[in-house]
Amino acid sequence: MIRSTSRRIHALGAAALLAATAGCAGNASSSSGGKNDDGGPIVIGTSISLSGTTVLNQIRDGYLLAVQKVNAEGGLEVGGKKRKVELKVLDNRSDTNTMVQQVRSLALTDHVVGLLGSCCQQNIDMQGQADALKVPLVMGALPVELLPKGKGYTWDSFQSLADGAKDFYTVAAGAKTDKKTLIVTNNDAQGISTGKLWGATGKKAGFTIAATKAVPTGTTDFSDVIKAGKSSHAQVLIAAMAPPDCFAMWKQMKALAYKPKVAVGVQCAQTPGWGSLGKLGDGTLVQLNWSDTAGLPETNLIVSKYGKKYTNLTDLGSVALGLHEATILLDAIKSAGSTDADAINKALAKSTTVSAQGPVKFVDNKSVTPTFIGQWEGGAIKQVWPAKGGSPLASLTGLG
Amino acid sequence: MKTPSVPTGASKALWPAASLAALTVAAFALAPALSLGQLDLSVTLLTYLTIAQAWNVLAGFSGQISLGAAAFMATGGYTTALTLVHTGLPWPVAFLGAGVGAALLALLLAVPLLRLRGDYFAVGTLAVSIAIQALLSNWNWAGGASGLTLPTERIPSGGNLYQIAVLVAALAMALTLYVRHSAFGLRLTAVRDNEPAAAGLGVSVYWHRLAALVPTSALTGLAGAVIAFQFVVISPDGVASVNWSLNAVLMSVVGGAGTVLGPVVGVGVVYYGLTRLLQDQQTLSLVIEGLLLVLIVRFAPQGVWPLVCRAVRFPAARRRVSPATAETGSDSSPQRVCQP
Amino acid sequence: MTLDVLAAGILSGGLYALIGLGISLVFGVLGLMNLAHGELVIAGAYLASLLVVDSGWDPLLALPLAMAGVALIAYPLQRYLLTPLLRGDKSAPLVGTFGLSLLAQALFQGVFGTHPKSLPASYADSGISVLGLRIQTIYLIAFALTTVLCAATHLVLTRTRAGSAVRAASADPATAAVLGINVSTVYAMTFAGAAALAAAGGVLTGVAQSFTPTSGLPLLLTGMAVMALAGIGSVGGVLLAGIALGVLQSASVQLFGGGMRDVVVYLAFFLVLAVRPQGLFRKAATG
Repeated sequence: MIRSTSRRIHALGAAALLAATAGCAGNASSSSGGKNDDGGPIVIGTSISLSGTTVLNQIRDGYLLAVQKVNAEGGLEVGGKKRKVELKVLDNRSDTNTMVQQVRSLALTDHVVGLLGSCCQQNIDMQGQADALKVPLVMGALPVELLPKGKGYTWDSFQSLADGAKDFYTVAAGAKTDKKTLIVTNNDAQGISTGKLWGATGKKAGFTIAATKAVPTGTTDFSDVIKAGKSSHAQVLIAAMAPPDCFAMWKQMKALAYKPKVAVGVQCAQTPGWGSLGKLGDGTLVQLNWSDTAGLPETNLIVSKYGKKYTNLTDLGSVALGLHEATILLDAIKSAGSTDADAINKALAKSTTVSAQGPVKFVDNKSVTPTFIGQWEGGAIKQVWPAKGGSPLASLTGLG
Repeated sequence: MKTPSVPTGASKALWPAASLAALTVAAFALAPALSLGQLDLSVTLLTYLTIAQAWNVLAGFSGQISLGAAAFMATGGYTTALTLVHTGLPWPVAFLGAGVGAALLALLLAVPLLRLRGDYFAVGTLAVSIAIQALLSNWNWAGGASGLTLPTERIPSGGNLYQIAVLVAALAMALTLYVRHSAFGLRLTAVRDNEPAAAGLGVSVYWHRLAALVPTSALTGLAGAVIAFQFVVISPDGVASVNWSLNAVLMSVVGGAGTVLGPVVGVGVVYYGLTRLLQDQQTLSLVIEGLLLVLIVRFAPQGVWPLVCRAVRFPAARRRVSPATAETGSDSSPQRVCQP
Repeated sequence: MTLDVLAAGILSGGLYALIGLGISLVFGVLGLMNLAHGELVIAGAYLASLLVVDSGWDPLLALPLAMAGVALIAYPLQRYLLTPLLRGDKSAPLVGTFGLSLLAQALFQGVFGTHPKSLPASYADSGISVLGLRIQTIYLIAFALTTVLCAATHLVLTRTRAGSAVRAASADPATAAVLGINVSTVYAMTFAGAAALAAAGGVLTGVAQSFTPTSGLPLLLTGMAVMALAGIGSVGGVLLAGIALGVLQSASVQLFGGGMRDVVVYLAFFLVLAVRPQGLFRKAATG
């Protein structure tokens, strides 16, 4: 009696173990319908961060907008037949490991023909997967200089740090300063490269880099950085950090009476939450990838579809970014006329898409989109550079 | 020291050991029949199984609750990657190096760590793993924050990688079976349940805790190597992420810590029930995951596996387990009874 | 190390101590490692933001209400969920409180959105000069408030009947129960008190810095570091440990650059834990 029950347990245990090791069989067979050669919808996918520390709902909405647009016209013509497009959106909760696992399952189990990116450091990590899996990946939200040299399956269409820096220094040269500059960045890969590039550009533009500091994400005490700014009398401040770091630093700058005349918050001051700093945030410059006053394509579509849901420039700019990326991928599938990964990859190299962030032309897998400099004024961001269509530069009232 | 005679002796281990061996051979042979997607998913699940089982031996059987699996994952992953990137050595060397590296780290950390008990051990291991992650982010020779890309032409992938993952997971299962059925394991649980009493009976507390820490760390290191091969690109954000440590705990506890098959069930429940099923649900997935974890530890504190197990051998277990002993979690609790 | 770096370290240490005090109290009395402590801190900031951002209150006026609010949420959580968990497996409270922290994050995200928030106040970005040093007012306020709350906690624990019940339940719950102390109530009260302290830390964090639904984890780690440095059962030790942590951070940034801050802090945290498990600020005999 006891013996037989214990055998039953073993059988059960063995079954459980089998379920864990090879149980994926059922899962995979059910999704083999998503294979992209059977006349069903063309499947593309993204592993994007929609919860946790980074939330990119706006970019996701842009992706969906592009897919809706194509499907409203009956889909994409592939192999002489129009096929609808299906976008698989997976939330990786801001976790790198989950992102890698999701991208691998999108490619290997769902057989997606193309991938769309997430943001920032995750995009860098995603490139390795696209190269290893040989699936084309179109991304934005990663300045083109930061795209590592890969094996050619990743396509980055976004702003260039160099443009941002050049435009910023042009704006800063218009303000009356001593041209001494303090640069503070996070100490991750993106932060360090940003710091180097903005430093070099500044020297070329005739600015003196008084000090460059790198701090870990999550720093709350900036007295060391502020001391460096005060002692070197730097009147130009460049901060490229995560938003909470800039929040803490701006408060501490004011408290410790460090008064730069021009300040830009790269990566951090775009967040609509910057408005909760109130007057302190006014006058801070930001680098924008999109502006409703710049006359870019699809501006009306974006504003009419999402103007109510997202009431500020940054969020709408992210929708534009998503729309832009997804359109590049969809256009490439269309011009390849095929769902073959290598054909699509070749088509991407020759992309002539014109979408929400302007015309696309890939050189070394990178296509630069325009940069705008915006400024916080009374709880909203106004475009100040290029001056055309925007407002004039105000002084840094928040810190001064 | 004389080995005490053990009721849970070798004869009882025969069935499970035979099943494990058969399953390993079967899983190994299955490789050519699986698609790339299935192979990849299996590698993921087997890696989770390895780290959950390693945690289970360390915490479930030896009572050392660790939040530091990520430290050993990272050591294994980076040992492998650095060996391949900076030397011309073949991958098997890098792979074994991962196990050795993690074991060495465990030996080194044992000096301070084994002074700690209970939750202090948990906090200590967490601190170590965060320090290692921060160190890797600053270590330029190891690629700093962007990490390292392994040479794809020199590492196993597909079916080969799957077979490696099967072997590593089988090793973890075998270790658990050994601990469950050996005199050594019995002494280990004695140290867990009542350290002074065990010491009084002549069991060396220090050596037993060390003997649990080192092999489980080595296994976790091997899992790190498997992840490095699978991911191809490793970075401090990924392979050193504290999420590995949390997953090891969650999977073991949800399935049933201190049992052989609990972590197996736990990997299935957590990965399919939480991670996979809810991956397009955003905020809702956080709510459901949080709620489920709270409900499981509140109403099924022994984990899911003992529940299932008891349901199967219901009449026998009912008679043998009185409610009083079930509450205290002593040796005849369902937790221990329900272990094949 | 220059004087202003030292001052900044000491002052930010006040805030660390306040965040560490609650987690240390709960661990000392209940033996519970609360992985949702960071979310209790953030809950205080979000509750205060309802009054501060939406109704224009001063954060310091909203602070007692936020403390009371978070304590009210915490009491039933301990009474009906966490205390039963403490009787079970050692790892159950860890998993349970981790589950709670996920739930709380989802709740914050659903109710307040994901953009960072900050509590505006005149003293958030003002500074004063002391002995030729420029100091951010909010950190001075936080330091003073932490000292007051530490002193109050110490007095409650040592001079009141409720305090002796807590200490009895902490030393030996079984004996305390025999003596007629309702251990479950004592546990719930202690947890509520710790939650109130956490909330106070949250409001001050919100004023001095900013917060998002996921800001809890770094705060939890800070709290744990303070607890480990302080050792269990000494309120004064917590204050000293917070200051030590603040100074250590400032000094490591000064000496090794910002990048190595976490390496230095967590290694020190680990070594102190390992070499003196009873904490830096307690005598070995009483640990």
